[in-house]
Amino acid sequence: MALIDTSLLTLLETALGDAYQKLVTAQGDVNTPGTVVYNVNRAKLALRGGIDAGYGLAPGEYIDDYTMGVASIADSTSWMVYVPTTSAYIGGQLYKNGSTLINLDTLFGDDNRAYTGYVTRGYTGNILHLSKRYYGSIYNDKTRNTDLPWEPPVSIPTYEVPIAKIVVAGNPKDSSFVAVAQMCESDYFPPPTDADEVITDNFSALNTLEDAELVRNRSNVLTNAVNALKTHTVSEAGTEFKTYWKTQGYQFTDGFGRLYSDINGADLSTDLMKLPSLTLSPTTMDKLLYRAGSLEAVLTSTQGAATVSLSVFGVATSSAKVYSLTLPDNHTVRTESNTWMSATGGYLAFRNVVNSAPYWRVASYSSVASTADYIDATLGFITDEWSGNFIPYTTDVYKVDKVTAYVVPGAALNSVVDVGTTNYQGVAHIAATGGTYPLANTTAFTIRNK
Amino acid sequence: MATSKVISSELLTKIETALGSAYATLLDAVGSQSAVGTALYNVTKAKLLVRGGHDLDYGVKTTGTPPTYSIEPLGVTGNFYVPTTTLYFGGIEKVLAGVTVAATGAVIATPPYNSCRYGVYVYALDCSTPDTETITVNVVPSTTSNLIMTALVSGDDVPSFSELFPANYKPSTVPTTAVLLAKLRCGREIPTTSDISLDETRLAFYEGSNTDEIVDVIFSGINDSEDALLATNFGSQYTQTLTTLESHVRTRSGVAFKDYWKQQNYRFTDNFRRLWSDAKNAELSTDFGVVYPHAGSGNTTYSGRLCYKPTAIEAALPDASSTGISMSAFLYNTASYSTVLKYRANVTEGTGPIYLKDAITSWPTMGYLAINGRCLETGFSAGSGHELMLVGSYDRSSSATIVTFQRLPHYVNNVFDPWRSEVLCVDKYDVAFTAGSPSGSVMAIGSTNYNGVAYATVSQGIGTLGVLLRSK
Repeated sequence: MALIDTSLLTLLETALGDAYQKLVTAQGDVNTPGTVVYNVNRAKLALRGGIDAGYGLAPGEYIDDYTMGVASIADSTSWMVYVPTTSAYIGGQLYKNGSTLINLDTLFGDDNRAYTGYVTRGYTGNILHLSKRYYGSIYNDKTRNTDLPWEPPVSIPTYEVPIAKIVVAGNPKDSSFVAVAQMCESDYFPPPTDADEVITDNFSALNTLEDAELVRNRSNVLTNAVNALKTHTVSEAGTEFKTYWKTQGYQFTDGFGRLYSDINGADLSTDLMKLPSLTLSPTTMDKLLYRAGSLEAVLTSTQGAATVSLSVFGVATSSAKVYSLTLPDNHTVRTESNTWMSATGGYLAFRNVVNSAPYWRVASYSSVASTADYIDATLGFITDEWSGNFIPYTTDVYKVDKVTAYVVPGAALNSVVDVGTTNYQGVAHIAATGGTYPLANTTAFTIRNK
Repeated sequence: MATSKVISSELLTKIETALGSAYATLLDAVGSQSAVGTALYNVTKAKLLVRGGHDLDYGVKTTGTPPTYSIEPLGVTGNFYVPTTTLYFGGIEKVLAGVTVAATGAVIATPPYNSCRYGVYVYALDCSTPDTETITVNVVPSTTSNLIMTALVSGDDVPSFSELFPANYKPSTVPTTAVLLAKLRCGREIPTTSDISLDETRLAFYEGSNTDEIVDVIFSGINDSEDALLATNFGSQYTQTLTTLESHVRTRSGVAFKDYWKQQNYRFTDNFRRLWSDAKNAELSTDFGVVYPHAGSGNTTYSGRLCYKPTAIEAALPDASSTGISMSAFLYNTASYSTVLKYRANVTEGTGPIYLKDAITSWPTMGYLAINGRCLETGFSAGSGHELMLVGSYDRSSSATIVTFQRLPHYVNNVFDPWRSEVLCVDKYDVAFTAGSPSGSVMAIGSTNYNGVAYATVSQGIGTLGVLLRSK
């Protein structure tokens, strides 16, 4: 058998996955500036007016005046930044935002520092985000410090809308201190003043193009490469590609996993959560399948004499967004209206991203009360990995099913048991009972899709 | 209420800019076999991992699978060691002997700058002449000037590579003819191996698999995908939208889309022109430049602007001319008449040889050519390179690879680096406007299609608006 070895497979699938990920990232969405979908959406909006993205900046009084105001340094002594009246779409909701002054002076000590930053609109009002490090040597020509790039990464949460850009450089106690403020570009398109015929003739084509780009699957250009790997594996291993590499415990890169899924309509087998022992918490992997699949538990240790009961919290494909700002300690949540939250209660998983790090929290819910716009529920938290706020229109809420699987006494290493029969896109939590000391400390499982 | 039923230029600008940007984003992601990190680069890499060898004319020749190329820093402040490395320049292997470069010290060694953290690119450049083989290793800051270098004060985190090498602030001094060896974080502290990144280094050679069964099946599949990426016209996905826009203008104005906007003196973005060219297989009218009267020997327009599709070219008078005007225009020939320099070309006022990679036997025995690439103006230091297109006359009667060349008088002396300094065949045409030509007069230049305008001169005495060169 001259089957490809895992080292070459890794190099190949990484390269192919990277190639596909490049195309997927470029395709983007309406909320990601610079992407294909974002730009095609803007072409349509130029013709129609308005905004489609859930997040974006609009002129302050956009109903009467589509001109963005001017940000400025209002007071060169105390370095007060003036930000004019704006509006911001956050999660599809419009927030009017009155003009404001932000004091930079208190942010600086005697250090010679330079920052780029952004004034953003969040749920609680204007927020100033400054990059932690400074960009540009403060020892250079001070007059050129305003050339500092806006682009350096600044940790702006995805649920805040940048309003104005700020550059500050130098020692605020020194006359060479420089500060510049500039408004961000409006995301809101005013309605065109062109004739009806212009809209009539062109809107449908642009809208059709946008619809096509929203669902564009570019995996077809790489189909032959993926199929070659599949054919080779079947030919040399005598086993289907997915099955063979699953038995080898091989974990494909996310990029290749997405490529495979988009070509074949089903995911490769992926480890979704690990339970290192019955006495430890599971390892959160933040893995969601590209297409839901049925789950199974793999015993990755020897099994003791007792039956182990595994409670797997499978992430269903039904989801919604948190509707209003929620502090988890309140043990209540308001979600977007949906059809899957049950009056009799059930389980939810919350996923949020803070500073690019994903966090999950699992809860049972009950006491459902709903309106046309939202659903209120009482929570009973099961996990407490994350204690941050649930952010409206940003924090995802998933329907979770608690599925129980049993592992019989004396089960062999790598024994596999089904976890229910429903398809899930991930695992939010695992709890296990039944092991006896000392084997309970070493009995371990991995949950994966079949 | 608007009276015109044709889309306004203001609205058109918004739409064509957005559509052009969308297309440019996609094409950038598809990339090319030589653009590190793009889809095509990665697919080609996958193919070479199976097949072995190299497809790229530029890059680092690695050994072993996976590639084990590395750069070892010395534990001496400011020094950076590049071991003996084989490189590809223009598809030819050249060995770079081990060398230590003053990576940190050469850029900023003195206080207070040495308290900063910043990034540098380390690259190799082929400066060989027919007499001497020379490859230099150079260092430039990661940003266009030291004013945007990232500094770090005590207690702050070490900046990431993405912070020190911001994508939108590439240094202008890394030559396009160079082979990038590494990115390095330096300053303030002695670099360690964790301060070296090869993620933008173009690895150009792979050992490949020695197993028949792997090459037999997997190679052809990946090769097919590479071919598919190379051949796919992504512009076709926009054809219907552009056809609708085209129909709208023609229906509402009675004039063809291209002609209507040419009449309006509307200038499309380059991104949209490329989209239109790919989606509609046609070129929109574009300006190449205006030739102005100029005291002295040269009244000239330069243009790096090429068409996406070969097109007819014309000269237009924005202003009436009371006197006769004579113009000489040098147009890029479309017949794939291009090669690259093989050695450094020292272009001076007199005639001298230039060395070409390929024999130009299909070119006319004598004529004109353009050198388009990275050069140093004579007398400037090695770090001051810039991009330039320069036109002159050639004679290949003695040799098709070592041709006699003389620049046109307007240019100053320059030294061009080899391999990526393109050499293109250009055709010279003389046209004349008679005395009393009215504003808007147009004259065709040549009788066939061209890829653009390389150079032009015009006689004295034309109107103050000059002569406009544009595609038809």
